[in-house]
Amino acid sequence: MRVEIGEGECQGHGRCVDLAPDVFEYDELGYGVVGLPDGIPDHLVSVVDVAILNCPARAIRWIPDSDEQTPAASVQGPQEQGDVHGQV
Amino acid sequence: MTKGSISSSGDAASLPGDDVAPTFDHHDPNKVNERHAIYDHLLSKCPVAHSERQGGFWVITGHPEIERIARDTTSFSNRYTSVPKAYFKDNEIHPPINLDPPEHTVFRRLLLPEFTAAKAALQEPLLRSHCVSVLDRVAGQTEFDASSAYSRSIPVHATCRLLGLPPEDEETFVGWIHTLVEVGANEPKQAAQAAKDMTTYLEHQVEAHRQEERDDLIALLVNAEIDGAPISHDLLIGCLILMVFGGIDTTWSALNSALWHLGTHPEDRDRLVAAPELIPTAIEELLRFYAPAVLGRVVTRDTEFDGAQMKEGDSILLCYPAANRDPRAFEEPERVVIDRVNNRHFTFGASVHRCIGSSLARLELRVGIEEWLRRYPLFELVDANDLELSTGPIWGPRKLRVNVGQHAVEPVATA
Repeated sequence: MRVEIGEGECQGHGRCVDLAPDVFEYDELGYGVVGLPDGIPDHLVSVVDVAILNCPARAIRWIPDSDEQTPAASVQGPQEQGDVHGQV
Repeated sequence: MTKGSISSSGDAASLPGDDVAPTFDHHDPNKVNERHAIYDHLLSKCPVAHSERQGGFWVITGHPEIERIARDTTSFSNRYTSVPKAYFKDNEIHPPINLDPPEHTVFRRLLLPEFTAAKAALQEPLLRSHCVSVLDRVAGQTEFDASSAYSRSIPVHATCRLLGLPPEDEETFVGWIHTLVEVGANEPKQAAQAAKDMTTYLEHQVEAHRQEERDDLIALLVNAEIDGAPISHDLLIGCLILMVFGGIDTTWSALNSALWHLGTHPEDRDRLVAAPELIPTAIEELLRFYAPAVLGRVVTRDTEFDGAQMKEGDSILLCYPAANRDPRAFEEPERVVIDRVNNRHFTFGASVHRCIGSSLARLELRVGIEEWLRRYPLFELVDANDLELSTGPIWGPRKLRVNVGQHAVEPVATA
C-alpha cells in the first residue's frame, strides 16, 4: 500500500508529520511530503489512517496496489462520514 | 453563570429561538458567555444563517459548509476578513491574509520558510527559559492572575523574537494589545491612538532594519522583492500588523482557555501531569473546543449557497469554533476528550489561508503548558464562576485568578 498527498491539496497544517512522523515529513515551505513513497509497512498503517482522519485539508489518501486488498480502515468516502469518531 | 459554563453544551431552551441568528453578534459583550450555546443552536437549526447586526452578514457554523466556503477562493474573497469589514483602518490590506490567489500564493510563499515547524523549534529553548523566568517573578505568591502574569507574555515574547523586535519593548506591546483588544471596543479614541502609536513604532523598526543587516522576519520583508520590486511600505506595515495581531491575541486566548480548562478540570490536569507526553494531543482537543478565532470573507459575485442568496459584497463570518462543535464531524463534540484521536478541527483555518503561525502557536502552547504544570501541578482556578471573556473576533478568558498556594514546585536553584 502506498499513501499520497494530493498535488496542491496540502495546506501545511502539519498534522500528518505530528501524528505519523515515520511516514510524513515537511518540505522547505512546511508542506507535507510522503517520506516512504514506495509503500507503507503494515505496522505504520494505523498511524497513517489517523493522519488521514486528522488532515484538515483532506489531502492524504491511500493508493491501493492493483493486486492488493484495501485495508478496511481506509475505505472511506470523500467526507469519511461516520469514520471520524474514534477515540482512545 | 454556573461553574464550567463555557465548557457546557448548548442549552437552546434558554435562548430565544428565532432571534438567535438575526441577533448573532460576535462584538456583543452581553452574549459572549453563551457563545458556545449559540453555536450549538445555529448548528442544529441553520448552519448557514444571517444576522442583522453589524450591517448584516452571513453566519456560517457548519463544518462542511465552512470547508466549502473557505476552499472557494473565487466566490469568497479574503479582501476583508473582519466583520464589519473595516475593523482596524479603512482599506488597509494585511498581506497575506487579505490577498486572494494568485497574489496570496506569491506573498505567502515568501513568508512560509520562516514559519516552518523546524524554524519554530529553534525558538523552543529561549521560549522555555522565558516561561521559567516569568514564573520565577511570581514565585512565593499563592494567588495571582495567570493571564497577565504568565500566559500573555508568552506569545508577546515569541512574536517579538520572530519579527526581530527588542525584548525590552515587550511591555509596550502588551499595553497596545490591551488597549486595542480589550479597551478598544468601548474607547475608540484610545484604540485609535494605540493603533497609531504601534504603526509609528513598527515604521521605526522597519527603518532600523534598513540600516543594518538582521536575520528576522522584518529583515526578510525589507529585503524581499515581488515581481522584481520591493514590498510597498503600506503592505509591509500591514503585514507586520497582521503578524502582531495574528500571533499574540489568538495564542494568548488559546493558552488561557487551556489553563482555564485544566484549572477547572483536575482530572484532566492530573492526567497531563502524570503523562506529559499526552500534552500535544490534549492541546489539539483544547484548540478544537476553545478555538479562539472567527474570520470573515466577502462574496465576490451573486452566489446561491445551500439556498442562501448571497449578494456580491456581502460579508460572511466563518465561525471555526462552531465547526469544531459540529456533530457531523465529531463524536460527542460537546465533551473535552483530551486524548481524542480523530480531530479534524478548523481552529487554524480550512484553506490556503491556514494560520501561517500554527507551528509556532503549537510550540507556545506546549511549552507554556509544560512549564506551568511542572511548576504548579495542583493549581486550580480560585473561582470558576469569575469568568471574564473577550468580545470580538478573538474569544477567550482574559482573567485567570489561580491558587497555586501549597502546591508550587519551585525550581532547583542552578549555578
